[in-house]
Amino acid sequence: MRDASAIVTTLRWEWFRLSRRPGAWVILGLSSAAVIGALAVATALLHLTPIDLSIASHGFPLLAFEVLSRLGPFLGIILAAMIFGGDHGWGTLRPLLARGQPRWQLMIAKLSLVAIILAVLWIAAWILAAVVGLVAGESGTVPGGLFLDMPDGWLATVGSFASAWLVSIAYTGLAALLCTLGRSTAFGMGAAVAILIIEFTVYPVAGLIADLFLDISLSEYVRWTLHGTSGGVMGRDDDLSAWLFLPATLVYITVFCGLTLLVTGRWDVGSGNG
Amino acid sequence: MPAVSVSGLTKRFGRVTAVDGVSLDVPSGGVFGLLGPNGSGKTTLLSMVSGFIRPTDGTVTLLGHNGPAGHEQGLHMVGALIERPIFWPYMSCRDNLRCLQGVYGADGGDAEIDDLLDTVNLGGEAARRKFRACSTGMKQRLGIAAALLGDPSLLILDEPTNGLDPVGIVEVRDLIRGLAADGRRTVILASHLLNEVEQVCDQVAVMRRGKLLYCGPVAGMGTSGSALVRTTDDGRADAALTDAGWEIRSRSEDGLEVAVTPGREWEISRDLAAAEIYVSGLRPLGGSLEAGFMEVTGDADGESE
Repeated sequence: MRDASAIVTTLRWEWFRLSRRPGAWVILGLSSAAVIGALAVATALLHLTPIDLSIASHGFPLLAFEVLSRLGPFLGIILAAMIFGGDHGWGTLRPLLARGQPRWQLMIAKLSLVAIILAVLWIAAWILAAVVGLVAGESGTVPGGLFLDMPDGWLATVGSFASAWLVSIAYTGLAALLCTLGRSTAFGMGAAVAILIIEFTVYPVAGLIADLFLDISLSEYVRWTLHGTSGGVMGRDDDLSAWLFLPATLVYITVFCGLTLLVTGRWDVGSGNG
Repeated sequence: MPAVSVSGLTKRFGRVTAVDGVSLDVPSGGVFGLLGPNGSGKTTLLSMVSGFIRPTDGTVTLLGHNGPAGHEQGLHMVGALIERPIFWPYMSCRDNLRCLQGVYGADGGDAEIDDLLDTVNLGGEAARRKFRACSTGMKQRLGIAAALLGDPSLLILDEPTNGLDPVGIVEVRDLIRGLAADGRRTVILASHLLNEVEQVCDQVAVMRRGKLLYCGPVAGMGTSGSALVRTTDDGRADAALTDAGWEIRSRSEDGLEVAVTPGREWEISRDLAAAEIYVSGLRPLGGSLEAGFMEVTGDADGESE
């Protein structure tokens, strides 16, 4: 109980510091703008074009989900780099730990803060999309505009948002680990984004080459990489159910966060780079 | 109970041994100096005491607490400024202190922060200035203020006067003396400046190349650990002191050179008086404190790091 209370207190002061960083508000503003922009564009298109636009058939919340699912990993990486990397780079882990707070409590508080911020963003985006859909439906722009042709209804959209959130947490863990290993915001963010981009670009090309020239199917292996698992849990794997990817995603989160805690607990706390 | 007790404390970074089997007790109350040239291992030693660096070997007992969990508990009552003041550059001095006050669970509120900012002369506009825009001296003052949050019973200050102007140096030295004046707080002051330690500290430990070379009264460092005794009858005095267990290092026309712990010279006089021998002169041997420091650190021959 005392540990939980200490973590909550630490989390509160983590937010205090983050909320005073202009960069954090810029990132959150850009993310919000991306979602709002996508919804605005969709609404405008629906005004101009017939109702059978594919975008309309997916409903507004799923449109927001599509935006967030692409944005989420980057957002998780950037927030983790700011919250973990900053303290390593400046050396401000030292004043935080000066009065004997266990290092694991601090790390848990930091991870929790990123998870909460992302959850709030995701929920806000879902609510915004739902409101836009309702308004569009009521105004006749999109008949029944909120959940058009969605056989599983609103619950499915909540599940989609939860899976996108989970994926962003996995990338948060990756960036937290890299920031801790490199003791730097730049290294953590750069390496995590590089991994993300390599996954996006190298796997399809490698799969194609293997298929064409080596007669090997790489898709079975790529499916369980961080990229493949992330796509799978968000329902992008045509062959397997999203539920199968949930344990794999949780394993990634556990490994990344566990290693972050382990390294932080064992390594010396540096005084940063100034 | 010593405020800090370290035993066999060692830290190796790869092949480099930064601290080599240091054992010492820091008595409770007063100002304890940790003196040594740059690179002597002072900061590494204090970083291990503060829990930032894991020792390769040895133990630290902090305010009676030892073991990993005990060490963390002991740190609740320790304020530290080690190596350099470290804060969040994008926040004001006041917000930095507020944040750390919250993290430390100190319950002094705004009043404590105002008091601390005033104590280190960072009130008014300076308190609103972003840390990144502060001068070196202001940063150092803020570091001292943060170390004082929650009124800790042990303060560890590593080169606290770095970057301060002469007036600031005098103020900080007065502050340190004042903090330990009531005897309920212990201050460990690490410095490479001999005169700083001489002016502020009661006891001193001297380090060089990771090893502890001397630990004792500041005044004792300026002596060679012996005293020249002149009596009305040196022959009888020699016998009496030898019988009383004193080591006579040399005998000359000037008198007897007797090995003695600095500050305990009066015991020689006492034993001679008991043997009804009159003392005509007794003075500790050795030169200035600086010469003593050079002798202790082996710099007398010009050797330096």
